[in-house]
Amino acid sequence: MTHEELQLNLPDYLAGRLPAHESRFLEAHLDTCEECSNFVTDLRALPDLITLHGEALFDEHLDHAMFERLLGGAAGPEEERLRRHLAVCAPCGLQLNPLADPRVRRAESVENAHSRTRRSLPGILKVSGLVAAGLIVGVLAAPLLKPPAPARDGPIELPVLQPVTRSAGRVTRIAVRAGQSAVVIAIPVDTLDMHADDERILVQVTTAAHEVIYGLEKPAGEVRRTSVSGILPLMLESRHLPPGSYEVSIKPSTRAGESIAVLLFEIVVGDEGD
Amino acid sequence: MPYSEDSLQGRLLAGDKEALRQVSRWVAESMTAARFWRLRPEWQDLHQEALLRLFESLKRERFRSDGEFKSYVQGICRHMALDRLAELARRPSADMSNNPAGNRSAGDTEDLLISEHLVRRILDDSAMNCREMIRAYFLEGMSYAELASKLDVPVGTAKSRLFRCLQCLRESMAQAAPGPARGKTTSQ
Repeated sequence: MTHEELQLNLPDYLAGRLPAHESRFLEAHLDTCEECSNFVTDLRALPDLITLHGEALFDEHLDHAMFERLLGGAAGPEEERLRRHLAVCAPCGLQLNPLADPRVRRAESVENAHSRTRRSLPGILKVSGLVAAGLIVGVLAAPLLKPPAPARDGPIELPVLQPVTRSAGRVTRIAVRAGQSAVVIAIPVDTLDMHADDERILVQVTTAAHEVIYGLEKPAGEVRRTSVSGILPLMLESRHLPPGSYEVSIKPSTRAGESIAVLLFEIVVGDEGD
Repeated sequence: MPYSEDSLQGRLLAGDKEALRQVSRWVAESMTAARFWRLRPEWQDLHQEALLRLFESLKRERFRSDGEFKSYVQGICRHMALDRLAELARRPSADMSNNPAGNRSAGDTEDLLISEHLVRRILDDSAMNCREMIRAYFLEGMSYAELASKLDVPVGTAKSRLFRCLQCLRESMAQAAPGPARGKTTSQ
């Protein structure tokens, strides 16, 4: 058989459908033919991947309504199919991540954005100091921000999260329990530069059912460029959330390269279901 | 507002969620193209950056309404991704430690994970008939005779078409992994 004729048997060989005697003949050819050998090497995993993931590799992408249903936990019997799809589909997976709100612009170019790993030790120390300050302010602010609620019955939990930086591409997640009245987030900001046409800086809080965007307003004034630093307390009201377990993702959207430390205070006001 | 309220650009500027979702989709598809596969650890950032850049561009009325908006969006993504690839190429050693984009020594599990995403992405970009053939042959287990009957072509033609489809798939995979994976040895 010629090389061209043998090549046409390669799909059968990959799928394990080639009869034994033809397989042996082809394997002898593979030993001497780099082109065919490379073909087999490169595509060897394909049949197994198709078997493993099945229709998820071929099915329709998620449309707007499907995203909404999935995010809202209302995908119903379709959920399994959507999740299998998301497990293999990069664009849909990327789209499902909390969407950036482009109404907030970052002046820095993406090129500069990628110099973000060069964070100095003093910068880290500064953030750490602000984290500590934020903890104190947060503790003081918590009672003020607490909505009318039954007397607290249980410990106040004050988990302190690690500073979040966009450079790490990381989203901080924390669970919110049913019956929890509020989450106070104190955000020590390590000097955010805001340009004149920046309107606000986003801190995006998302849950499975909600997407809440907090904007840190630009200070008043006609300056071309200004800096903001200090503690910026925010409060997420979770009273409106239906009972259930939630995961809150906090994704600070700041100028690339800047760091934001997020402290998250959980205030438990009573037993679950109160 | 520089764009009409019912245009996609106008709706985007007005904060219409569906418009944002649509444009976000275009960005996601552009960023995850096989040739930008090296950038996958940065996709999320690049995706966000591209949306921000697009929005800024619209605010400054840089997009002319008579143009093809999707192409415009794709152009922004392409330039950003190519710039980033060029930057990675200029300073590979600095990025290697922190950036898995340049890391080609990932383990088998990582390879598998990449492969399924990559295969899905490449199949998306394949011609419809190729995708159907690959699906029918590998997933449904159709024989060449059944394929030929389905396509209404001789068996030999079905066979050669499937091979060519797999060749295209492989070429796309090579775009994603320049400096081919075939450096790895395979044992029978």
